[in-house]
Amino acid sequence: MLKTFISFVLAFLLFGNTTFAFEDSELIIHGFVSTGYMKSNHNNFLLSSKEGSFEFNEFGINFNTKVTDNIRVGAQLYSFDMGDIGNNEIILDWAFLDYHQKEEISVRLGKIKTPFGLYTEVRDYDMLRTCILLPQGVYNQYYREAIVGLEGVDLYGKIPLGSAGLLGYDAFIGSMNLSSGGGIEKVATRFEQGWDLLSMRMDYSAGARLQWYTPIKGLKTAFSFLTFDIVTTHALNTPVGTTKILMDIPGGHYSLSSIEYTFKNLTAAAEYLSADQGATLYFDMSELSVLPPGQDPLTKIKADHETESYYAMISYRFSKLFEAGAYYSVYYDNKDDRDGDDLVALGKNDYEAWQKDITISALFNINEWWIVKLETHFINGVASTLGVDNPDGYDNEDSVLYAIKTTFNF
Amino acid sequence: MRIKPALRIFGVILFSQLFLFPGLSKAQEILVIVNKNVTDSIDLNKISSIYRAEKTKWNDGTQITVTMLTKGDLHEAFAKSVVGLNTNRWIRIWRRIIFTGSGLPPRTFKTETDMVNFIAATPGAMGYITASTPHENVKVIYDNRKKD
Repeated sequence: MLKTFISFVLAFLLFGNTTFAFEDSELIIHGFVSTGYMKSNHNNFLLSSKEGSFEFNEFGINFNTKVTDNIRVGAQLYSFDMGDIGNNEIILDWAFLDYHQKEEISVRLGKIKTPFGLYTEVRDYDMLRTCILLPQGVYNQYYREAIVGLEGVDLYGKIPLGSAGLLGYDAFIGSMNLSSGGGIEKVATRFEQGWDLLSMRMDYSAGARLQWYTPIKGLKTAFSFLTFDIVTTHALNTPVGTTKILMDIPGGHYSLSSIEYTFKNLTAAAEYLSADQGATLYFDMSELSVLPPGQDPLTKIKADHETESYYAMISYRFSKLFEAGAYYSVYYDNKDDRDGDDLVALGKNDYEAWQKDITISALFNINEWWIVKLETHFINGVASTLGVDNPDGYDNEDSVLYAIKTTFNF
Repeated sequence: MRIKPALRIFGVILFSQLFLFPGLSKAQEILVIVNKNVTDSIDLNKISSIYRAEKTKWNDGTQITVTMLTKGDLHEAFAKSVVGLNTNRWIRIWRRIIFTGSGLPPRTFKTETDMVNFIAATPGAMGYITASTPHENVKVIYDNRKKD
């Protein structure tokens, strides 16, 4: 499908509007490229940060055109690399038909960005924010592919509320192909050593977002809800045979409350995410040559898993050249074990239960199409890191991560 | 801890920028213009809403074609006094539209004359100029020289 799409685009570019007859046709093209470097003093986070890594870049190019006054079509190609994930594979970021006849109700069909919270739709575009890394507790890079977009339909609109402002809404449903080499695969293989990932799929993703543009100029609040079903299958190979494991996260759901305020050169935002990713694990041990007496070869276990995260962020433009920002972000991997006591009982470190991050960012607008950013993260805890990235264990509860990034856009 | 002094300095600078040193730029005359077929009654809040990409259709369903200058004093003054944002933040709103595909970007012009000619020829189009730019073939819906 991607090759066909690229052929389509090249043909259109080469042969112009002799190929198609659109009312008021004009093809609009924009794009961007970002590259960066990260280094930490302890604990690999997102990539091989202890050694330092340049495996940190994004590229995108999009095409948009108006078919009629009410219909637009467009598409964006995207590639990224973040350590082991992405690896610069070119993917279709979004491609849809937008029918927008009335402000109050419109529809998008195709592959769309998921309207969830303040920054899900724009999380991949470095030039649209002051910081380099969004707060990872809410915008976890590993779960990106399951949340950033879906193939389906989005019903959306904005309803004037008179003196009460404006109410924006989105309601969406669809599904997503989970790619090998992506973050979900990496997370799915981290649960236990020796679990081989055989397959994974997302059966559906659905949700809604309400945004209230309040009568106070610059103040916006939002509430977002997302539910999904992800199924992964694994094989646990042992000397006495293979156990097949199916992990089903049915009706996993995220709820996200958001607030953002812009005033002159100041932007402030805060979000709170509660995520229920309870899973049911089905074990098929029928191929094992040895089973404990009385053990049913087919068993299931239900595992509740609720995470919690929140952040508060501020940024300020001091001049045309310079902006600065800061945020404080907190992530708990288990809402019921914020202090890590349950992990300690399992022989793990208590600081694996949380990750707290104080980040300071500086952005330099070299000109209207080129920016450079510097960022430092003071991190306590390791809940957002992965054991597969730290096979020798975590070497410190605290770590400092430095990042530098530059982006060109046109 | 090392971070606290840095945050204190950041806070002092932020406070002074917000409250002690208000913008000192000289008042810039701004006329907001539309194609003559636009019949909506429009106030400053609606203009701001349109340029923040919150409102995209006129009441009769015609698409609002937003136009912008690429740079200059008028562009900066319009961003600050009408849209209520600095130009960086304003441009980010439109870049968000572009890179999520959620709308069409504004048409940009290097000169006010080019903008006027486009608006005159495009139903539903909207832009901003200074009073000295010839504009007989468009409708003026806002003139900051006449504000209360």
